[in-house]
Amino acid sequence: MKYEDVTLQREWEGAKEPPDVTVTASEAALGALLEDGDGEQDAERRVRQLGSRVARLDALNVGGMLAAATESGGAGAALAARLDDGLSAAAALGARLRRCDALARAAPDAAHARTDAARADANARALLAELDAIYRWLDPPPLRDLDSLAEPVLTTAEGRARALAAAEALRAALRAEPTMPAPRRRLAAVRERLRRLARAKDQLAAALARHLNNALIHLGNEAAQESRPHRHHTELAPYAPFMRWLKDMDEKAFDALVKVYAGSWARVYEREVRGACEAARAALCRDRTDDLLDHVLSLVESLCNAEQDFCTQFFYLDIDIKSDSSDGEKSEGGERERGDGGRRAGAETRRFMHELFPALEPELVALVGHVERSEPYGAMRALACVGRRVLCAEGERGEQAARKPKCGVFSFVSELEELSGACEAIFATSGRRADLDRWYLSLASAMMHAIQHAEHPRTPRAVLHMENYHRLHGTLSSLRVPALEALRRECRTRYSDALRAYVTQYFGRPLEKLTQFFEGVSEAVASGVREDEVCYRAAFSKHELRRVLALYPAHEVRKSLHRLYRTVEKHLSEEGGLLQVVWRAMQEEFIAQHVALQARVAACYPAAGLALPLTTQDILDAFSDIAREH
Amino acid sequence: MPRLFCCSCLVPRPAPGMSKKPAAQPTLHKVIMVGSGGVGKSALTLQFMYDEFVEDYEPTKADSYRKKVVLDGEEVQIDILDTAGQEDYAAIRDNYFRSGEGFLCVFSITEPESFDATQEFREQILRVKNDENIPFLLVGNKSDLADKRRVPLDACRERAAHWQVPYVETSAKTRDNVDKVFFDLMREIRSRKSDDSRATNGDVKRKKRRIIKCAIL
Ligand SMILES: Nc1nc2c(ncn2[C@@H]2O[C@H](COP(=O)(O)OP(=O)(O)OP(=O)(O)O)[C@@H](O)[C@H]2O)c(=O)[nH]1
Ligand SMILES: [Mg+2]
Repeated sequence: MKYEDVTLQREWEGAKEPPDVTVTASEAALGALLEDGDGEQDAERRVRQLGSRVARLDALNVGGMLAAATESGGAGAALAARLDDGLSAAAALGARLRRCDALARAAPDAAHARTDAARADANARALLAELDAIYRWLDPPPLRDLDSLAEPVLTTAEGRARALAAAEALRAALRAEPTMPAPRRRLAAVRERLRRLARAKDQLAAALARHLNNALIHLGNEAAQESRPHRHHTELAPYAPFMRWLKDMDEKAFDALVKVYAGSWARVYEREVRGACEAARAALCRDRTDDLLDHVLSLVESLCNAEQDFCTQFFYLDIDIKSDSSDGEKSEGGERERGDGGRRAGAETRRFMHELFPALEPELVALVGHVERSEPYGAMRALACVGRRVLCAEGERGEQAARKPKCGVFSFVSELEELSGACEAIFATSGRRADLDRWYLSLASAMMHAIQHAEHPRTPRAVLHMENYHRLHGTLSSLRVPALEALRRECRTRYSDALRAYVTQYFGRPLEKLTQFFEGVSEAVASGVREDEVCYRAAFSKHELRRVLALYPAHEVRKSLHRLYRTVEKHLSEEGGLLQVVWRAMQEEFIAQHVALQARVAACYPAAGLALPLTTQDILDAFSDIAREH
Repeated sequence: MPRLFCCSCLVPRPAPGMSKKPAAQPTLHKVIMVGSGGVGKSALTLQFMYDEFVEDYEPTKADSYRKKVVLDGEEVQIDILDTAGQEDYAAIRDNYFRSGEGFLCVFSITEPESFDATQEFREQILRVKNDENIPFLLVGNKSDLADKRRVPLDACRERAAHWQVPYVETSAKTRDNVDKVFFDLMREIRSRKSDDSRATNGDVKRKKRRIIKCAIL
């Protein structure tokens, strides 16, 4: 089969004739072939021959028509016309095949003949389908006018819509190539058409890059000269889909545009931030330090946030365009944060923001340094201000946390470590250890306060406390600041208490009624009833115990242990890393409780033949099962 | 969308680390400390985590630690589960053994019983993980107490060779080889993971490869 394809293709390429002639020639050949046979002589052999020759003609025809389309200027319209020709040629072919079929029927001993005719008919149908597929692949409506793509109209909404439709169609056609069957891709005409589409893609990419480059430079210059509010985000937003397209189809052009954007706006922002810092320095003796820093930080924060929001969307930072579905449908950034791709992605935004605000850190550090020199407690205030802002930014984020399925570790807890690294560096030389320690103290206690009062709709409070105190304890331990020792120990205690509270709240669940029953027994014993007389109380009779025990057949207890594990798994977050710690405590507690109950049963109901549903070994086996299954 | 701007912009060092995305977390390697009570599992962990040595002995139940480290130029996270040497019921360990990706099996060179116990720990780990090649280091701790040594070096090496695992002697007190055991284990875990992912990718590719049939003729 493969071999035959290749020969046919070569045959065709070797015999390039003017297109119209080709179609007519092959039609004529077919006609001759069919008319020729008078049906008397050797019909069987003839029809068999016919079958194989029709197959070859099919290939010749498709190749011919497609080559014709590209040779006569390559315009989509020509391809369309050729394909239409092809369709009518194929229809004619179908009619002739029917005649051929009749011919074969008329012949004596026609069994073979009929199958051959049927095969020929099927081939004709396959040819029709193939033509249709090629037509849909390489000549969809938006690609009818390829020439206009070299100079698309990008200043009007309508022009942009047209250019975008063409761009997406180009991408779809070019991307579809590898998915097409090899014989289809091998057709010379298809290859030629693909080359034409690739050229159109290059032209469109160049036109887009030119237009966007001009727009970026213009807006940047405008902002550098005038001091009215920036309008570049609204101006550029309509071009976002084109940026996405460029990122996918012409990475070089895309990267160049990113550079232009970062370059021109870095200049604008550098000037603005420096201006704000200078103003703050100048006003330092007049106004309160806190307000001044607050003002600068607010400005910087709003600039950064606006740029981050815009740029992640406009430049599709952190989104792996290539692995995206080729249909050009938009995907939400948030959905693609998982896995390795997501990991690299975050880095992209960070790198970009760094390019956009290269002078931000030195500028702010210089400001804090200045404040520190001019005012004895200035630095302390600066840090307190920074700390306050961290925590209040956290309040907003808390709302986001509520929407997550689990609370997990608050980001302010995980950030403390980084923040402290920064502060140690700023103050390393300043000899203001005491200030820094005070600041740590106030920040850490503010965090503990925030944790203590935080809530989450789907995470039990004990879990929220456990995970966050555990992590904060870890961070404070790694800071190794003696001044924090008391807080560190307090975190440890609160963590242990929360762990304890969570475990006690849940471990009893698998045997809840039984646990309650024996709590009653314990109370009775504590109030002076002798253990071997407890069973004479109506509420704690053997009969009553038997009834409660009946509620817990062995397999039910096993099942509820598995359920308990799943509940714990659901409550705890990945980043908290406490699942094993908690489950170990649960297992320990459950067994301890079980052993205590067994002792009670033995002491209070001796020789009654009553036993708990599972032995200790059964429970241990159930734990091993859980380990295997989850 | 998490904001990149936060006050750690004041940080006078390059931007990495400003991210708040959990997705931006580096690769996590899960290490489990096992061994008899009092051999120094917690001491090794605390020395590695916080550069401190604790003289007091306070038996552990289970503690979890997490730290970012740079492993051969790549930032990774290590998750350490420090476990109890004394556990009333061995079955309780099954679950955390299951969760571990690598094991530091610790004994004290001053205590032959703790060396004997490594046999049982190893057996249970192999049973639960069902894997002979699980990343595993045999660690002889308290090397600073050379004069009290009661487990001969040859016996240690022999056992490690028999299990085909590395043997390293450490001192949580002097910090000798402490980083080494954690980093060596992480390297084993890492290479194990990349072998695994290569194997799965191979499968995917094999499945993806399809035979394209000639559609027309
Ligand atoms: N000299 C010396 N003492 C050590 C060393 N490592 C641990 N110790 C001491 O040994 C005792 C027990 O250490 P831990 O780290 O608590 O032992 P562990 O293995 O965690 O014990 P469990 O938690 O009960 O399983 C402590 O008093 C430590 O100070 C060491 O390398 N050298
Ligand atoms: Mg310990």
